[in-house]
Amino acid sequence: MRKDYSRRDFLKVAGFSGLMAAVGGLEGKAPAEKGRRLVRFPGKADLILLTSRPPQLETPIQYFKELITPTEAVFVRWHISDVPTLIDSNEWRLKIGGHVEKEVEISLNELKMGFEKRRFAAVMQCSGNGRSFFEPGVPGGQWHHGSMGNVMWTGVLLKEVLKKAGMREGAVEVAFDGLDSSPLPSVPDYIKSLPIDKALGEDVLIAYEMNEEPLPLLHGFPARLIVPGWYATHWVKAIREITVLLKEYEGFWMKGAYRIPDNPCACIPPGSQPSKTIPNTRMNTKSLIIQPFEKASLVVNEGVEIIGVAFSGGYPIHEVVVSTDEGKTWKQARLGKDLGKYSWIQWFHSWKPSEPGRYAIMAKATNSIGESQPFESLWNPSGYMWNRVERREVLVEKGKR
Amino acid sequence: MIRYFIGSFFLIFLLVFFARYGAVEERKAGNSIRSIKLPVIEIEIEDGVGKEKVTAYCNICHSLDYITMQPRFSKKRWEAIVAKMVKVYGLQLDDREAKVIIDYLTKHYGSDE
Repeated sequence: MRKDYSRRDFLKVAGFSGLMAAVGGLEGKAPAEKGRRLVRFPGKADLILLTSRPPQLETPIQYFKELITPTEAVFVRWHISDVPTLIDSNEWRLKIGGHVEKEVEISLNELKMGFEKRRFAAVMQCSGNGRSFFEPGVPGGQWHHGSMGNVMWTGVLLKEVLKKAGMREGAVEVAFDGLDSSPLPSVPDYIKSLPIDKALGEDVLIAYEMNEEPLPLLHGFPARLIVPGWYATHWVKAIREITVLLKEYEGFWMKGAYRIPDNPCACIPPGSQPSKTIPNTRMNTKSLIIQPFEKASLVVNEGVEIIGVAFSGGYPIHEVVVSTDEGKTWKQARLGKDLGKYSWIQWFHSWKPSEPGRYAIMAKATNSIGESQPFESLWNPSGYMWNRVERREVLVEKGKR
Repeated sequence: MIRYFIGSFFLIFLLVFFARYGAVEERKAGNSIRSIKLPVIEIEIEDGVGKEKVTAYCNICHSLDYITMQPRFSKKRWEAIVAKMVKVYGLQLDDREAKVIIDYLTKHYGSDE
């Protein structure tokens, strides 16, 4: 019998917030939960319901207090409604075809035994994480901050798997198809492609484990693509077929969706249309304040630990600065354990407010190549790449006798 | 007799247990088959002219929370969304039905602008 992780974790979170309320006056419900419905899907904790069919479930912000996001709390996002719900891993084969020397089929056992095993932590984040903060609002999954997670992935290098089939000269892209299928024949199948350089590059994985357990069905059992540093739209779940292409893949999910304005900020004036677009690929730099929660009540002269996470698309976080006076002055946060350039890093800043009043806490991350976060909202019509510097309002009150 | 009682108690225990904790992924030891049953979550949308058409057509591909979670869009925006369902996803809809659906969405999940 499988342990009921979700309940355990719920208790852990509940216990932790209770403790924090006792020591730091940090009570206050996570904003992500206000007016949003929690649901429990198989093998998952209580997550925020965006949509049930296909499933789109968001992680409540409390879970980001942990360096590695527990599997049962990781967000879920499928695109088309016939999601695989029954898979016999003995029958499953990964097909590699297209512009190759010889087509091959690889079993799960061959995948696990026939290649060098790689394991690293990487942030998985939906392109639309933060879409609900766009003004004016844009259609799509109305995510707050919870369509992301930091997961330990285990798998094999895509380029090694491609080698088995032997790529022929002139390949331009590699396309990936999963076991999910469309409810109507007219609905485009969810197929994504990578440029050949990316597919043959370092660290792109075909993963069969997350957090050192086999992938749950909702996360792409038996194997999925991991493109660390890039948005999760490329991380095709329950992968079944890889096709090497002589030209760019023309399907809807590459040419009609997941595209951003072709300029350095990937932004245009709110409400307008871009003249030229490109696929949404590498993640921008981002920091999130996890604690205190929005509208938390703090007590004057009592120390508070402000904590958060920061990450960027494949470059280490160089620094995180924190302001407790709405951006007038900034101090460097302490950085936590380094799990590599694809992981997020936790950051901490101790603060003891000496005057009662309303405060705005802000945090800004910069990566090793100088990429940082904007103070103003950058708008695009699909609601992608939200990374504005966050502002958390808290209330500091006089100590209670 | 006693065996029968123990058996019944065990069965009741199992029923209660699975009612409470049943939502896990089925994964038997030594079995290569994994399966899950996705919950069906009914979303009630507002009453009004067009509700039946919206329920019938939109539900073909997705649950109705896709509608209820959206920001309050203008009529123009809802028109564009319905047009996308027809053009991109191949929903079969005549102009009259499309109008009923757009009017419903604008009235109940839209804005006046």
